[in-house]
Amino acid sequence: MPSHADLDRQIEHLMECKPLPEAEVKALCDQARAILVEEWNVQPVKCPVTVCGDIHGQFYDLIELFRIGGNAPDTNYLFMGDYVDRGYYSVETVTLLVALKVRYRDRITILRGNHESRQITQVYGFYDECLRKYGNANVWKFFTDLFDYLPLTALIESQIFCLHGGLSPSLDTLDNIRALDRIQEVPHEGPMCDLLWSDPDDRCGWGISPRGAGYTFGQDIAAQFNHTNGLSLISRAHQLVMEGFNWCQDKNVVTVFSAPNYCYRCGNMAAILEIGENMDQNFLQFDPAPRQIEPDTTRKTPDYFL
Amino acid sequence: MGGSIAVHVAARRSLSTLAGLLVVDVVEGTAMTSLIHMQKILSSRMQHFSSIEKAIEWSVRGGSLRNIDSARVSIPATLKYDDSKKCYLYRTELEKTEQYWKGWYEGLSDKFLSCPVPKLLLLAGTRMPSWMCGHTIGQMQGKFQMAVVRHTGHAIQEDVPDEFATLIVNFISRNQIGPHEIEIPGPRKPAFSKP
Repeated sequence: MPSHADLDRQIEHLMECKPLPEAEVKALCDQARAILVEEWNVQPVKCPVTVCGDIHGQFYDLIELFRIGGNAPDTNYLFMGDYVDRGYYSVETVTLLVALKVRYRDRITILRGNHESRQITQVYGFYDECLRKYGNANVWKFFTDLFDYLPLTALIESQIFCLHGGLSPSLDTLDNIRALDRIQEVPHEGPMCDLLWSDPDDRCGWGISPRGAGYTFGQDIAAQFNHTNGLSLISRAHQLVMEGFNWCQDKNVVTVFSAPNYCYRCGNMAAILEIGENMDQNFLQFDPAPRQIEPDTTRKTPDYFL
Repeated sequence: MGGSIAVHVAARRSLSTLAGLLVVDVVEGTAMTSLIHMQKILSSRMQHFSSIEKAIEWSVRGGSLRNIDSARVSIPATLKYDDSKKCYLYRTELEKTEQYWKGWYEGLSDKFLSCPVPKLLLLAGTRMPSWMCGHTIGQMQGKFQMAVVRHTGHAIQEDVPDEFATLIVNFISRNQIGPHEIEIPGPRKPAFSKP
């Protein structure tokens, strides 16, 4: 078991947006797996806690988030998934969050998003970034194996239900979620897929998600789920919202998105949700970190033929 | 250009039978930034072919296609025989259509997103970073399905026809297009209920 001092050195190193050596990443993932395997599909979380949405490899914006919300472990954090893909620094971002999890296991909760998946990361950037930064795919494998162990959802003081995507027609109760076998690649369909892919909708009932996975669910569904499970709120991420957070379905559901100027082009604000000692809720909005250094991504002459 | 036609027609909502919209590797942002290179690309193409077979060979060896079987089907229709020059030429002189290019792609993203039917955007995975090419805001708001197809060039339907067909069949099935409804699953009891 590496010491706190080792972890502190690694965290300090990572805070400068420098990747860890491959062997250290492997050791870190092994430690993280031992912690995460003990966590629940519905992981209990105490307040106060600050709830965060998608990060998507935007490392400097994650640092900005910590500047706004406070550093771990002084602030307790709950991250609702999608740490990798799309941004330029997925490696540094996910390594830092995993290192913080190992160092302060009871003060930070990291959930699984739909991008914490072997299939998705091979398409949307994390795999290619690992190849570029390490020269092989070992680090990608260490992390994607670890992703299988991430909790699917969290429950703050038995009142606020947190997850990446949304509800599933296969899951009525929190006990249904507790019964799932989560340690696997994200399936293409089924309840585990739905938790990571679904979106709330203005239309009532269940709908076919335009995304191609998961479902859309209406206010009636969310209200019933909240009532059945004694919940006051469903907090989720997964959707870009221009103000960083968006209430919907008569405050049964809130979306939190924490990647400002998403993909370095969308012009959106980001937000985090502070839940205080007495369950009071406060949104902190923030803009992109200043002076982003854009790595050189090769721009080829297109092969379009109209 | 075909993608642009499809999007414009769908956006007009004049086809009452329209059930879905599938666009193959056409995105406004990428297309617009590509236009300044287009004349150069067109002029660098082989222009004359002694036979149709030579044109097919070139399309795979030096052109943009990767699947010889598919090229054998698609290339002949793009050619015509020039009696005076005694060789095959492209049927359509794309260079002369330049004045219309911008109009094909300007506002395409908004038109695509405004279509009320289920939408699937296919992107070629060899253009890196391909995920940056999509309608990023719309995709992250969950408004359409995007599939990045790896190991293929721009003509996805030609380069990987089996994978392409699978994507279409799954899209049709998932969106319940056609006569047979698909039941949304009800709650399933866990095998061993816990109190």
